[in-house]
Amino acid sequence: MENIAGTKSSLTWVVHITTVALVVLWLFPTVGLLVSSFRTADQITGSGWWAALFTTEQNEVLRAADPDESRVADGPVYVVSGNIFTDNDSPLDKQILVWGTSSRDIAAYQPGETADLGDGESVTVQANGDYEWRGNEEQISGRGQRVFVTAEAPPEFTIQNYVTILTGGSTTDNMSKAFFNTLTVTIPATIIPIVVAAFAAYALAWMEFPGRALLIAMVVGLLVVPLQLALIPLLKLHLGLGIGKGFLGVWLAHTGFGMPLAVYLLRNYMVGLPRDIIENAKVDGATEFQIFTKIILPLSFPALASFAIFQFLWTWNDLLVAKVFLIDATGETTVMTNQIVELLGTRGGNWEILATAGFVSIAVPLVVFFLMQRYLVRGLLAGSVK
Amino acid sequence: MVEVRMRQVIKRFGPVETIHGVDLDVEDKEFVVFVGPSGCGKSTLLRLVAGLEDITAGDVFIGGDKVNDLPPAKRGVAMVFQSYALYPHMTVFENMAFGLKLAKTPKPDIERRVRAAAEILQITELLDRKPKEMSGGQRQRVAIGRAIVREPSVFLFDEPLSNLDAKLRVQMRIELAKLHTDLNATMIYVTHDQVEAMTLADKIVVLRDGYVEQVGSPLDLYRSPNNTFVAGFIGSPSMNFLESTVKGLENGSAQVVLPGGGEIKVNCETGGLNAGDKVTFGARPEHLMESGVGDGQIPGDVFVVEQLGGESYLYVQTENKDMVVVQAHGESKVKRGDRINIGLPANSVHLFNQDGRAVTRERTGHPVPA
Repeated sequence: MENIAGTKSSLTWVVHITTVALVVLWLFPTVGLLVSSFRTADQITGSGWWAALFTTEQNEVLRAADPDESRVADGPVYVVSGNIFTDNDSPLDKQILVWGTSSRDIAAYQPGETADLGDGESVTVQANGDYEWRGNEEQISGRGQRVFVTAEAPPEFTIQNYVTILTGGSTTDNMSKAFFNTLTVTIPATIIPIVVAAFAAYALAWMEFPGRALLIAMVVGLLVVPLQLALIPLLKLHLGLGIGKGFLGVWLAHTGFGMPLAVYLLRNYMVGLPRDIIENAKVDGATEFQIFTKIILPLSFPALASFAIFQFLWTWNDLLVAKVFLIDATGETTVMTNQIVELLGTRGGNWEILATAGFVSIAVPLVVFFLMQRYLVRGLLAGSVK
Repeated sequence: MVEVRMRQVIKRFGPVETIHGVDLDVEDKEFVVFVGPSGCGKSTLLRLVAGLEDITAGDVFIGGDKVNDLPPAKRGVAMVFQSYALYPHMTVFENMAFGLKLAKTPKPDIERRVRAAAEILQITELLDRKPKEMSGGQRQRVAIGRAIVREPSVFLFDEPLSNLDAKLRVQMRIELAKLHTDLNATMIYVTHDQVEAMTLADKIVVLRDGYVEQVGSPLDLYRSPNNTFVAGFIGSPSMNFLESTVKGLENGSAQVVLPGGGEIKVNCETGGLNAGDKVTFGARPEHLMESGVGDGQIPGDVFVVEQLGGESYLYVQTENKDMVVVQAHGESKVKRGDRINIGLPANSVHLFNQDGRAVTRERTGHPVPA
C-alpha cells in the first residue's frame, strides 16, 4: 500500500514540475514581448526586459543652470539654485544615491552634503535633485557646474510604441488596417467550415445512406494530406473561376483546408451522443433537420467551440494561405502576419516596434484562448475518449 | 379503439433474422408485457411498433391502420426509454413540451397539458430543473410525463425501471399500474424482470430467440406454461426440473417414477406418451412440502438453508444428484445436512415431453396449505 501511495505522490510531483516548466516556458517569451512593447528603443538596448520591472541605478552627468541667467546675489556671494533634473530635462521621479563633482570620483558625496570646490565655492545637492551652488561673481559664471549623480529610477513605461503601431501615419508602420484585414479573413474562415462541417458530421454520424463508411474513410484520409499540395492547383482553380485573389478566395481555401478535421472531430463527437435521445426526438415528431438544430447542435456545443478555437487560431496566425490566395500587389488586403514580415524588413532594428507589432498580433488569440480554454480541453477529450 | 396487431412480422439485420414471423394482438386499453431473456427480441419488437426499426416483412396495424411505412411520430405512439433519453440541455418543462411544440400546439395548450401531466406524476416543482439536477427516479417520472403530454394512443415502455434501485423500482411499478388505470390507454411494456411482468400485465408475451413462446394472462402462464422455457421463466424462484420416466399410462393420467424410487400419478394428456418415455418433471418450489405431505415423495439431503423470516428456501440434493429448491412457509426447522422427504401435490406438478412441450392440463394455483 505504501509503495502504491509513494508512486502516486512522486508522479504527482512530476506532473506539477512539468506544469510549472511548461508555464514558465510559455510565459517567459510572452511576458518579455509584452514588457518590451512598453519600452523605448534606448531602454531595450540598455537592459533586458526583466530589468524594466525593477528600480534601476543610473549614472547621469548633469549641469547646474546657466549662471549668467539665473544667478541671484545673496549678500557678497552669488547663488544658483534649482532642481538638477528639471534643469536638464531629465525625468523627475528619481532618488539620488550619491553624487560627485569630478569624473574621477562620482560618488564623493551623500545627498545633502556640501561639496567644497575651493576658494569658498560650494555645491549642495539634495536627494530629490534640489541643488544650491554658491560662490563669488567670478566663480558663478560661464557654464553651469557639472554634477555627476548616481540615481535610482523607478520602472518606466511608454505607450508610444502602440500609438505608432496603431495610429501611426506611415503605412509601413500602421498595423490597424492589417488587424481588421486579419479579422475579415478569420471570422468567416471560422464560421463557414463549422456550419458546413456540422451538417456533414450529423449526416455521417446519424443518417443511413449508401457509401457513408467510404465517405468517412475519405475524410480521415484527407486529414493527412498536406495543404501545400493543393496551393497551386487551388489558386489556378480560383483564377479560372474568376474568384481571383481576395477575401472570398481565402475564405474558401481556409474552409477547404479546415474541413477534414472539422468533419472528423464533430462526427466523432456526435456519434457519441446517446442514440436514445435522437430516437426519442423522432418519436416526438422531429424531422432530421429539427433533430439537428434542436438536439444535436446544442449538445455538440463543446465540440463546436473547440474546433472554432482551433480554426480561429490557425487562420489568425496563417501567412502561407494568405500570401497565396489573398495578398496582391496593392497591399490593401495585407494581413497582420504579412505586415510583421514587412516590418522586419523596414524596421528590422527597431525591436520596440517589432515587439509591439508582435504583441498586437497575439493579443486576440490570447483573449480567445483564455475565455474559451475550458471548451478547448473538454471538446478535445470528448471527441476521442468515451 | 386502439389496438395493435402484428401479422407475420419478420425483422432481419443484414443476414441475421432476429424476429421470426410474430403474430400478436394487443387489445384496446390492454397492458401487455413483452418478457424474455436478453437478446430474445423483445426490444426489437417494441421498436418495430414504434417505427424506430423498419419491418422486413409482415404488417403492423395500430388502431386498424397499417403503419409499416409511417414514421414514428405519425403512429400516435409515445415511448419511454430505459436510459430516460431526456434532452440534457432543456428544462423539464421544455423536455415535456418539445413534442407538442414540434406539432405546433398553441402555447396555452402546451402549458395546460404539461402542467396536468406534471400534476399526475407529482413533478410540478421540478419543471424548471435540468435533467442533470435530478435523481434517477425523478428523471424516470419526467420521461413518463413526456410520453403522457402527447396523449398518445399507445404507450411503449422499453425497460423503464431497470436503471432504478430495487426500492424505487417497486414504487414506480405501483405507480405505473395506477397510471394505466388512470389514463386508460393501451400500453406495451418490455422487461426482462418476470416480477414486473407478473404484477403489471393484463397479458404477458414470453419471447425467446425471436419466437413468441406463449401469450396469456400472468396466472395462465404461471399455471399452465406451454413448455419448459416459459415454466422456468415465469415464477420466482424458478421451477425445479427433474428428468423422469413414464412407468405406465391410464386414461387421463400417467404414472411417473420419481428420483429415489417413489412414484406419482399425474393427470395429463396421454395421447403422445408411451410407457418408458423420458419426461421432464416440473414442480415449483412453493408447491413442494418439506413435511413430506403429498401424493409422492422425493428423498434428499438438505445442503443449504436460506432463512428469510417469512419464508425459507431449502436446497436439496436428490439421489440422482439433481438439485431441488423447496420453499417453506415461515421459519423452517430443517437444518443443513438433514435428510428430508419432499412432498409433491399431484395437481401442481407439470410434465413435459422430450421436446419440452407441456403435456399436463391446466394446473391449479397455489395449493391450500395443509
